[in-house]
Amino acid sequence: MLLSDFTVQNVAAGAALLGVTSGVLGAFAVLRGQSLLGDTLSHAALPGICLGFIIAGSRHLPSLLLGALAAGLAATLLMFLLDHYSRLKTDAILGSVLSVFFAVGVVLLTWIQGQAGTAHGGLESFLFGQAAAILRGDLLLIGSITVAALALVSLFLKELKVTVFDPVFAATLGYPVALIQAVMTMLVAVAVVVGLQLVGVVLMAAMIIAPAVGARQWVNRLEHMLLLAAVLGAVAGVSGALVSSAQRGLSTGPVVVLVACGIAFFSILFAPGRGVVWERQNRWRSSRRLRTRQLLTTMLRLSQEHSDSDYATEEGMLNAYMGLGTRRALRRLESDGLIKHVVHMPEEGSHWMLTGAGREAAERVLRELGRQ
Amino acid sequence: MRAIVVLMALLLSGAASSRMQIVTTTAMIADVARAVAGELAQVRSMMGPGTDPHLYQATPSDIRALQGADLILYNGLLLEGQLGEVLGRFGELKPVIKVVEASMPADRILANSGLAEGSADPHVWMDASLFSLVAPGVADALAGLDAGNAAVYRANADAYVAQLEALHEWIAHSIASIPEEHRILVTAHDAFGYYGAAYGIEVAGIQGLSTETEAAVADIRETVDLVVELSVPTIFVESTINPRTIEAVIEAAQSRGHSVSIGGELYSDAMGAEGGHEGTLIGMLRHNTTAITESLGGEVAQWPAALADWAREWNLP
Amino acid sequence: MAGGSGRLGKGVEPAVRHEPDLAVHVEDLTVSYHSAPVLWDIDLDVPPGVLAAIVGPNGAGKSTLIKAILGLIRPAAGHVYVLGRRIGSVRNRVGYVPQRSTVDWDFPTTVIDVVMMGLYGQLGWIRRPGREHRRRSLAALAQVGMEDFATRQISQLSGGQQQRVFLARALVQDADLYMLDEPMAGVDATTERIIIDLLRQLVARGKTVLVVHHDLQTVTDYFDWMLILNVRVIAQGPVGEVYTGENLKAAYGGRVALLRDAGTKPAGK
Repeated sequence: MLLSDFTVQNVAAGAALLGVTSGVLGAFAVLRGQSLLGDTLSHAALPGICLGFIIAGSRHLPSLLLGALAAGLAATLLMFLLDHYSRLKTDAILGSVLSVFFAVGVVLLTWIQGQAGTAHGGLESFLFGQAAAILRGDLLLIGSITVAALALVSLFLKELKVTVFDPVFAATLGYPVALIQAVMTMLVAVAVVVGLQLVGVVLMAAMIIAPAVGARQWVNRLEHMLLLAAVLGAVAGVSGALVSSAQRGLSTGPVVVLVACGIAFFSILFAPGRGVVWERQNRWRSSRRLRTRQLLTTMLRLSQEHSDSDYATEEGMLNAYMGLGTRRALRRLESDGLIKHVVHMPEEGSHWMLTGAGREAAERVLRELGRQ
Repeated sequence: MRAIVVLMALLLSGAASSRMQIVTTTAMIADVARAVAGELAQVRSMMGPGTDPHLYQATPSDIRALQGADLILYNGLLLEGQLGEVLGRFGELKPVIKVVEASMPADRILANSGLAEGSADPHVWMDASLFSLVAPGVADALAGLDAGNAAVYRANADAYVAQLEALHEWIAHSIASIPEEHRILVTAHDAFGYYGAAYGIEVAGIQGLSTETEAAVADIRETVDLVVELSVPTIFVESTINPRTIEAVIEAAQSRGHSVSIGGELYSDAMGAEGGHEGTLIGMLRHNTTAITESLGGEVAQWPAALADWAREWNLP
Repeated sequence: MAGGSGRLGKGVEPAVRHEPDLAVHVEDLTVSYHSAPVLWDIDLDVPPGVLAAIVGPNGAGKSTLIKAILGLIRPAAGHVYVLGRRIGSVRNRVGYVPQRSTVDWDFPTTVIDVVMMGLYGQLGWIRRPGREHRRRSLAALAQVGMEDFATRQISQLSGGQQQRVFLARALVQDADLYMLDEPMAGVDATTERIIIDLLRQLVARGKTVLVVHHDLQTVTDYFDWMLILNVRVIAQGPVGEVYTGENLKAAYGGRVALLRDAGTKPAGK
């Protein structure tokens, strides 16, 4: 039983925490239309990690994560300034901050690499994560960060809700909207810090987006979306951890991300009400229903015109009216008992006649139409 | 006419008085080059202590050094994983030697027992006697560039080989003193294959031959199983690798009731601080052997007389 | 209107109240965007209890004026006093109904949730809306004829229904001054009727209502006070006095056809 193994437990727990945090905190970024914020802040974390290492002089994890958080704060500040004082649009701001910070990070990383001294080995593991090496102490650290962040969200849920939905209205109520938005951005930086060790800088963006996008497809209220995003994130984390533990040569971080994205894509395609497949099916069903109603009313009108309640319409004529083949729809109406197949003379082809029930149905349709 | 003669004399004297420039990738190869060339060449290694050669990428100053080099030496066997293209290009411009391929017989190269069948283990410097085979090849290359000093290079090479042979004996004796049930060397990655084969000690690494891929959960678990089953008392971190993987193994073993300690930091893919005795190949292997032997319950052998001068040079007992 | 703890919209109460008899008093207001003037030297005095329209061509600065009055934009010059005070201390007495397009209607929330947002200002930080707040929100929805839609997802609403939800959100605040930005643009006839009836009721109860209105043709039917704006104030005052061909031509540059004038003699001729 995989889960009884100490290492697997650690990795699964860490991945679950990552899933919960990035699901909940990422939801706000997604709803604000800033899905790539996760990408920006996770790439921005790299120089922070390097600076944290340079200042602390060692690979002490809390210092590195603190550095990552500080870099996230600096990036948030820069984005805010660019937004308010320049003409750049949001996507350009996100892109430029991402590139600048990441470039600085790579320069710092190679500089550290070139330094004498032996303490810097393994900083590159933050690029793609090293989930397998997670320690119980790390779990304590990221666990407390998770609890604190979730508590914050829970306490200030209505402030966050109104600021995302209608920031201008929130300002008229007197809320410090810019501050709340900055806090929301910092929360994404916190999620990034939690996930850095597990999935690394490059893939973190997917974890911010995927669980939230998946959750949105199934529910219609913010509170439910946050809950479901947490659940989907945790599921992705734990299953990713288990799958990667079962096989040699599978890195945990990328597998977790793959599962999360798989869940998101499944939700996009198959969720009832919003899913692509569902919508297509719905449209198809609607047009089918429309066709049968048109057939009924056409047949009714024809029989009215001929003043013959037992008037039998030739199928070819119906085809001409509808502009397409009606056989399947006619068969459906027949099996519903609304029309009857009639043969006048063998060489004349199929004729169809309304039954009593069919007549009633057709009249009902016309009444509804007349009402609209 | 006189001006041309003076100019040519200046140029020639300039060429003769400046030393040869040798550039190597790892410090271990630089150590050999320094021993063979002595004062006659200036040796520079691209990678320093703590640098992982599997991941290292060339910097602009490295390229400049390579451009100014008279001879380039590198390990090969995919050790310098990210430098293949750079070294290949320079191979067309300058004398470049892949020291392992050039000096070592194919049957002494260990194969990779892990996933990537068919590739070889590049960590040849861990076997002092095997690695000493590099020295004569370097001497020949230098002789080819500077025939006047050929005898010097050859003599230096012979002296160096003698030192490494003495070291080889010393390591073998030291390791042999470890009680058999503890003669297992567990490290962060499979860098000690040649060490294990040459000196009679079992080796196991959490990660495989290269650190380019991250350690997987299965890697940790396998190592934990090994450590617990064989009751390994001590495992070792490496200077170029984040110690977390080792710490994770220790924690996991602890949870299964087996206490493991860290026996020390070994030099695997890089040596110690430059300018210090652990920044030399002999010093590096001496440090490793001492740490391994003493942590696993053995006793280091008497330091050989052939290396007494070396010890005195570094003010060591 | 009682003061309460935990409210937002603090702010130092000035010792002297400015023009307490005016609903809105604007002095020398200038707003620029990248050094191009959007509002220039605006002087505006809106008396209390009027149903006022703000009209002007596109780019006249109408929405900007509303936002400046609400303190959402910092002016380059000038002062704004709302209900005799600076906006910061009377936020709970001002209700704002923005344009529908400012919001993503795909946001996961229900109609009643949106209306309850109007009460957040009174709740302050952290406190959640309770049963009483829910009851008041339902009452506001009933006023706009949307009480059956309370639990509906907002993405399922038509344009007119969305507008009514926004209106309910402002109503629930029980404010003294309401500011609406093009509330009747692009809505069905039923919604338009409901909105204007509601606005009239508010005015009848003594509230002041300011509406950025999109349709010149209906100004005289709906409003009793108006401001004609085109970066500068063209004219302000009771509709009967201000709604003239001359004023409108000055604002719109002669491209305006008035149904009212068709077949009648122009004033003064």
